[in-house]
Amino acid sequence: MTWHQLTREWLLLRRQRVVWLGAPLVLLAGLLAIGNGHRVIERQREVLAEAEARQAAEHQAILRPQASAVAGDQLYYLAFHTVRTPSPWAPLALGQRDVHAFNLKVRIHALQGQLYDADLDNPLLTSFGTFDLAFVLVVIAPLFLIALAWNLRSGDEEQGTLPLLRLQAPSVVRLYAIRLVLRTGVVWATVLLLFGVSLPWLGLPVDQTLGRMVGVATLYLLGWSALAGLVATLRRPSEVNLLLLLGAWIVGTALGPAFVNVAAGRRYPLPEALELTVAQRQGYHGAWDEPLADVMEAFYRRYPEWRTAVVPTDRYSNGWYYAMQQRGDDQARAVAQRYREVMEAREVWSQSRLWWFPPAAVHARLNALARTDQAAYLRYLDSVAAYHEALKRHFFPVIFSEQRVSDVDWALAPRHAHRD
Amino acid sequence: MPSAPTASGARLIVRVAQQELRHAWRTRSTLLLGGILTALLLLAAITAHDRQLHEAAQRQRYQDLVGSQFASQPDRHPHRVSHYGYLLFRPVAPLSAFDSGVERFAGTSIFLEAHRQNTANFSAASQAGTERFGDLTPASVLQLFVPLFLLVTAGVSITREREAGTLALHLAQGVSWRALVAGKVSGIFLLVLLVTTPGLLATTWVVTRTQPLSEVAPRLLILAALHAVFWAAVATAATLVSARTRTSREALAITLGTWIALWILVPRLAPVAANAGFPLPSRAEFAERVEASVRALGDAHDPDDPAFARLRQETLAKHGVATVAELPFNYQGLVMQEGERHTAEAFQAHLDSLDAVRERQQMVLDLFGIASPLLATRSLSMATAGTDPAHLAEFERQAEAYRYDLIQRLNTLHMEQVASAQDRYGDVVNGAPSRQRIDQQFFASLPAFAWQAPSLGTMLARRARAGGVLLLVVTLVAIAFVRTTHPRGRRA
Repeated sequence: MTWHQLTREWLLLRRQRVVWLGAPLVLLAGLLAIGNGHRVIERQREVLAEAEARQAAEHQAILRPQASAVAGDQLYYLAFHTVRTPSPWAPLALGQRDVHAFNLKVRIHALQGQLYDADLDNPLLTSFGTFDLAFVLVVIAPLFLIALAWNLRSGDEEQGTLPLLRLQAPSVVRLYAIRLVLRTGVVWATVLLLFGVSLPWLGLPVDQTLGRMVGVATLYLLGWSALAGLVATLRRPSEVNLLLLLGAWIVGTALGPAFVNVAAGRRYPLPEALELTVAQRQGYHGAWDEPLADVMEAFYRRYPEWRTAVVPTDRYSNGWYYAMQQRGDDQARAVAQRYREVMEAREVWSQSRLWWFPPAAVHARLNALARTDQAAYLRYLDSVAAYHEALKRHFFPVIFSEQRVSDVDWALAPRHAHRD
Repeated sequence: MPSAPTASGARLIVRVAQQELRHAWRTRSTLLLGGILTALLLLAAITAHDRQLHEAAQRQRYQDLVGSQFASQPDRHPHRVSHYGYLLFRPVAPLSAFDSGVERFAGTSIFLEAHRQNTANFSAASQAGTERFGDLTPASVLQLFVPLFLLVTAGVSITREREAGTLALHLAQGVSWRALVAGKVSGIFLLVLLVTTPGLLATTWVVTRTQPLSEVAPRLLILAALHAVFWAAVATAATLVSARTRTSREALAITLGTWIALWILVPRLAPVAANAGFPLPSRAEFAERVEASVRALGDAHDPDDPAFARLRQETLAKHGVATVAELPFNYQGLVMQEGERHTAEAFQAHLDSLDAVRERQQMVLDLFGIASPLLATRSLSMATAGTDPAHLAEFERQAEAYRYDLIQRLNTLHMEQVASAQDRYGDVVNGAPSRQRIDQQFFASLPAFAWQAPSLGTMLARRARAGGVLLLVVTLVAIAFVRTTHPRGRRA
């Protein structure tokens, strides 16, 4: 009986114009979105793939003409590339990768002045937001479902076919349930097809992360389906149903997240961003005006192994110079820590509030799964900080023993690699 | 047939408009939507203003701090000060509480130092993790949601009467199509003005509270005119759709589909096209090019650099002396000055190439404005509010002019106040090796940065293309109005 109903309803649904208009449109939008995600991430991958050769060329251009120079002097100019390799799923949910750095270069100077350099972009373009599969799923797919299901029951009532259906079907409720399931299935199949296409296109592994993404997408569409069903049970005219569903869509995708953004910024202001730059700069430059012995003492407390190294007190030396750079980071340490904590607290607070607006929360979840979110960026910054520390420790012997450029095996310098 | 706006034609338009308003008053859902719009507008105005005040105060505080730190620094070698540099915080635009434009996507602070031009860091967007779907500002309410209200209300304005049978009645009473559409558009336009008036008044009050009215008033007038034109075009287009469709359902499908396509999809697709068509180099690629150019210029820190050898010869010849020690000034300072001039030029050439790419991207976006009038309206709104990319570029331009002037003044101090013989680490001052330090009074008397807000006229002139696109869209809608409502063209 049910099977029979299901096939009959499917045949009816197949005749609806909106299916054959909506599905290709969502598919087209989805393909464009996957293509765009692919383009953005592929471009970043190309840049990252060139990082090593680029660094080698830069270092050679600096060091080659200076073979007999003091290595510590040349280290001033040497920048080391860091590489934030995107996860395989990044093209599906670009998250914040378009506004966050992915190829920071660090010198062994004070870190805090280098850590927050953004990559080049055009604020005009980034202000519109990204276009990826996550966007199509979260924002566009529900519209397709709304277009299919807004007059689920009211349509029959308004066309006067409801009494007829009552006569034919044993249970109208079950009939509408079947119709809703079929409509949801059409949207779900469209989304699934897009995920399917992205597998060979992006070379994605079929694994847990992908499974979770598809799972989140499925739950999300089920949520919208449930809402459409709920609205249908209110037995209001089609126009009211449509306004209700569109209202939910606007609040969930646009207004809600905007509110959370504003509230988060208000609750967790970040004067630390400005404070940090000021503190780091004062710390480093102030060190030039402090007695050398004080600067070195502060340095030795952090790096006691260098206490015995000879640092001349009556002339410039690189040991002193980098101890002063260290002073910049030391003075900014507390505020850098606070900056980090506030950013994290803001993020945690935002994420918990976003659950009031499921579309925004689902979007955030997809970004988290693709590791293109704020948390992934902070993990990258941590790896850059660790790398900077490793570089310093690697080059301190070169600096304190005042080696020449030709004495140093530059190929031994630590390399950075971070995978989202 | 009265096709020109005759006296009786105008009376008919007023009558239709009155009927439309009366209908809206009787329909609860219209009032409800209007109420939601008002609430949104109020909320947006209050939160955006709060954020603007907070941001402005915070940046001013740090700008003052940086200024006082710079003025009260100890005696230093001038080149030390060149590297100590200066921090500038981008001032908040006068109407950023109305339209925050691209402000949140641009860096807020920029570090000025010798030898290089840094880009601004710490954009608000890089610190917030949530997805951006437009900020909640009065502008986004007026540009995103008011048009949606217009599309829904105007979209069913004629089909509703057709379904109820009153349309034939109107036409039988001698109401022309032209008067009917004009009346519906006027009625709906007035309706949207009525429902947004409390919010608009609140917004005006909020933005004029902290700004001199003379500064803000022309901007507000332009914004009012801009949005009026935008809304009128949207309302007219939607009413024409209503005139040409049979059922309200069909009309709603078209107008809602239009909103989704032109207000949601096109604004996401246009930047994709702009980025794909005219990609910016990555920061690493860009830095590589700049560094190659700068390296080709020679190293100003190295007085024996071959590129600077010629400068030495020329300077010695000019002053008729044999060694730099005999020059009447510190030659090292001159080397710094020349070096700065060359690196600044090299940097500027590369930064100009970036601006050229961004300009092409802007052009792509403007072209998409023909499809989505939202894009052109937004562009003009941002320009009027002082929050568009051109304002950011202007800040960066002034920051660079200030940086260059500051560094060259310091290099002049280097030339004139630091003795050549003491221009190396021969001394020990306060327990630290030191070159000659000069009196801190020299630094305290250097000019501070003063942001010169660009005039509204010049900034709007730069967005003439967006204005042209909007005009084109309005013309197209007007042509559609004339053709659709031609006396012989339509029947009930």
